[in-house]
Amino acid sequence: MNSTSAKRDEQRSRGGFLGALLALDRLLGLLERVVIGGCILAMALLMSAHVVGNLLFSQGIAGTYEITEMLIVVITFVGVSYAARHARHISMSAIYDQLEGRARKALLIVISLGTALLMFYFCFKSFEYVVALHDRGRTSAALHIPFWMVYTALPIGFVLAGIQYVLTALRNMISPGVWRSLTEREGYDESVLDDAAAERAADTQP
Amino acid sequence: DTWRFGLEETEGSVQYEYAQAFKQLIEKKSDGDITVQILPYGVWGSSYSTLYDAIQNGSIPLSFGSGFLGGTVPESQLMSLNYVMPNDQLEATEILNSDAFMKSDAWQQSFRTRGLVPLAALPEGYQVWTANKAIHTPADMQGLQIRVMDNSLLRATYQAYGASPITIAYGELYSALQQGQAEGNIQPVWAHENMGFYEVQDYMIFAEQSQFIANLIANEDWYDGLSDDQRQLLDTTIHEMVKKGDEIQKQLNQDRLKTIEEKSDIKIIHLDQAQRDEFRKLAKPIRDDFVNLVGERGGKALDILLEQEKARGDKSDGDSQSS
Amino acid sequence: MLMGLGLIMLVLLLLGFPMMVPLAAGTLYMMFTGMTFFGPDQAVSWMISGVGSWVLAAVPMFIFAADILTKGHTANRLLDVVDAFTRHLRGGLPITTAASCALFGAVSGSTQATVVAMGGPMRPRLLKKGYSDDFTLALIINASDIALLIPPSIGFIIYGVAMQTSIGDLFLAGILPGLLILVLFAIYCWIDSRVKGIDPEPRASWGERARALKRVVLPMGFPLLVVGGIYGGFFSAVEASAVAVAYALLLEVVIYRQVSIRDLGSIALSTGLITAVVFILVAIGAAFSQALATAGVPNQILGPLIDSIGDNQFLALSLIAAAFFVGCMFVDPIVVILILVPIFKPLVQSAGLDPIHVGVIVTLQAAIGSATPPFGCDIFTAIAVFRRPYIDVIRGTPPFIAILLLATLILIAFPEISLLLPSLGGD
Ligand code: NA
Ligand code: NA
Repeated sequence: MNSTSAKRDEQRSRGGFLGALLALDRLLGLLERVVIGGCILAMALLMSAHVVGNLLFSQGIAGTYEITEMLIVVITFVGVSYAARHARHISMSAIYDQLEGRARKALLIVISLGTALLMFYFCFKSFEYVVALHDRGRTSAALHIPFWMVYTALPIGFVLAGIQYVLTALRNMISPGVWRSLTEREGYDESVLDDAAAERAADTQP
Repeated sequence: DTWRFGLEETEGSVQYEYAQAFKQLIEKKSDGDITVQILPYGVWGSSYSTLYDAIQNGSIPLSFGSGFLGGTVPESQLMSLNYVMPNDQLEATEILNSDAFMKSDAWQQSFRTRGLVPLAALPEGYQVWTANKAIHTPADMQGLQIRVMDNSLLRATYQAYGASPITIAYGELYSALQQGQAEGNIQPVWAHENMGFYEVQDYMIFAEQSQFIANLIANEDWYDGLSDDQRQLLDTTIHEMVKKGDEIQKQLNQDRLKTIEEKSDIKIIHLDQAQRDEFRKLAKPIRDDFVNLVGERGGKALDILLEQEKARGDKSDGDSQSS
Repeated sequence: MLMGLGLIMLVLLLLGFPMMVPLAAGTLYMMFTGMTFFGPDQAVSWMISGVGSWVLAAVPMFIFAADILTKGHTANRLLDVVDAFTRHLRGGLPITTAASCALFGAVSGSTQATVVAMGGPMRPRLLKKGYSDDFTLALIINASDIALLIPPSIGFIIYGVAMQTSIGDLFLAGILPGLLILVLFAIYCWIDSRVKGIDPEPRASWGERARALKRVVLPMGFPLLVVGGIYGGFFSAVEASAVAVAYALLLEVVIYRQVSIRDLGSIALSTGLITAVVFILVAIGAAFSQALATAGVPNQILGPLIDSIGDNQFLALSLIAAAFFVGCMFVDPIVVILILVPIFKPLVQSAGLDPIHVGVIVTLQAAIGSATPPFGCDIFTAIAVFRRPYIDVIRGTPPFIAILLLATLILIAFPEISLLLPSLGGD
């Protein structure tokens, strides 16, 4: 709850390079949120309306299938970047968890830069693919939507994710502490354990 | 050389049998210089657009593309129009593979502008309707929730018949037919058998409205880059395969129909000419929809097809009635 | 080549790269070394077709429905009713947790949402009562897996489509096995609290129970609506996921007024985030498995095994169970089901196995594997939700995994447990 306000304070107080990064980052984050949340809502609305149409009027909504499939593609690939921003990509942290201090920070920088490299490569490859689809003029079967428009989500998602990982590496180079993403500091949540212990202790008091 | 050959179907299908025979001929005639590597459905992936990507980017130079090709080559939807081919399956096969049609500018350019070359057409048998009620006339089809692919022309065709076409994913189709969400289905006989759809349907209706047609296509750069010898080898082999393909298709569908009849008490209906004509009348305006959708080049290809039928004296009960 | 592939992926994985990196690196390795003749262009096409699938729409939709219920009243009402009936038993609190997970599983289709919805409120109560965090986390993870067996279930939908078998029958088939596992877990919880000497809570009055029951009448409409709707031919299993969302909205926005229209945006966003995290692995996993398939690896490994088994049903089921169990230890169950079902389909047919029975075994393995180290995806969900270190999350899992493997043996030995309900419900 107060972590967001703390974040804002910090952004205000820092000028220059990091401040500019954070501003850019916030703008991109807003874009991702609108796209991802919007796609989920649109999917729920479309599919429900299709079912209702089928039940009441024996007539579903033409193109429900292909639009749903397109929405999933957009969510997935724009989500790559959004998940990177919130350090939510699944990873196997057993070894990483054992490291501390500089070693941990160094490994995180290597991981971030390596992942960024892959993201940029996929951005390049998917950009080529989108151009090829554009040239071949492939469209969907029911609504004849050009696929290249929808699949532009891939290069965009990958490049934004790549930028996220570079920013994470930069943040770790500039700022003290270990940062799992540009704006999220690393840490486990001990609060529930502490609360429970405290409550148990309180219960046993006379 | 290795020629990779992608199929939209799995082992034991019409496409697979065709590819096997094709492989034997090519490998024998080339004295082993060329090996044909058959890649059935599943090996290259499971979504047809992946296969078409592979043909267009050249990683699979030779492949079949059927009713799913519409987004990639819009004009190919000509093959799913109803009542534009002769009733006789062999005759339809011959017309589609005639130089007049297959080598026509309209048909060739439809594919070549998308980096592909059409080499042949392999009809895989009639598209057969199934339903839980008997269908003899368009009146019987009123409001029937028949499953069609999510494709604007097919949807328009069945709406013209009076049905309420419903879209269902192939993987969910069996359940949907069983539970009654879909009341009818359109597949070639082998697919009805293969997927067990007949188990949950009561009537099987041969309206001879269209065949399931797979186009044999090649990557344009690959085809144009073949040596003269190799291209001639390919062309002559494909020519030999026309009749063979028809035999494979008929044999396989006959066997599958027998299995269906043995394993179930599904009732089989063949529409007579008068009944077919009722549907034919309703399907005819969809030809204009087709031209509006895909453009003049597609219209030209359709005209060539219809001319060829007429030129052959037409043993079918088509527009130019005879028999 | 195969060695090099395994080595690269393992090193990247162990170093702690996001799991999409080793999968992608493995895919590109096969492409650049010529193990598969496809190039990286095809990888992009495979990724898109891997997720651009109608069936997968059920995943975000069920998660969305569950997220709405978690934010609203339904989750707590379900907890209260189970609590009223079980808290006086020895081990009552963990049994409540397990049963609530099963019940929430009957309302939602998603194990991940179950971890959040039931694990979230139950964990502090368990800790306060003196249960260790190891036990608590392991219990939540594994009990949430019951959600995969009790309809509606994303696992069954994906399996049903891949195997071309009736999803409605699979749903019915999962109910008794789900309850069996619940009973086994309850026995373990009873023994565990006896050993630890944790006393039960006071019994709830019948009045309290009746009130709690009355409050779950509407939430219990979910299983009826979803299963009934599919069986009645009103909608398909995938469409049912959207119906679940609509019903969740009706309940929480219109009737209980616990979720405002404005909340929906942020709920949708968190649903989208979970979806994206899983689906990028589905996408790259699809490219990886397709590259693997064109390189002929699955057939090299499984082909001889499948041939040698022939029509020995016990061996066939055991092999299938083992393959899915191991697969889900490493990759998301959705990906594993999509990849392995086509490979094993011929074996199911040649051994004369009932695809419904196989579906129950497979889905159970997916559930177990995904709660099993090293990479079971439930573990990562728990890490993300509870923000605990990896080691803490897995420490308490072995007894639960042992129980689930016992359940597997029981279900293999007695197919009737799975097949009874579908045989009653079928045509
Ligand atoms: Na469930
Ligand atoms: Na699970």
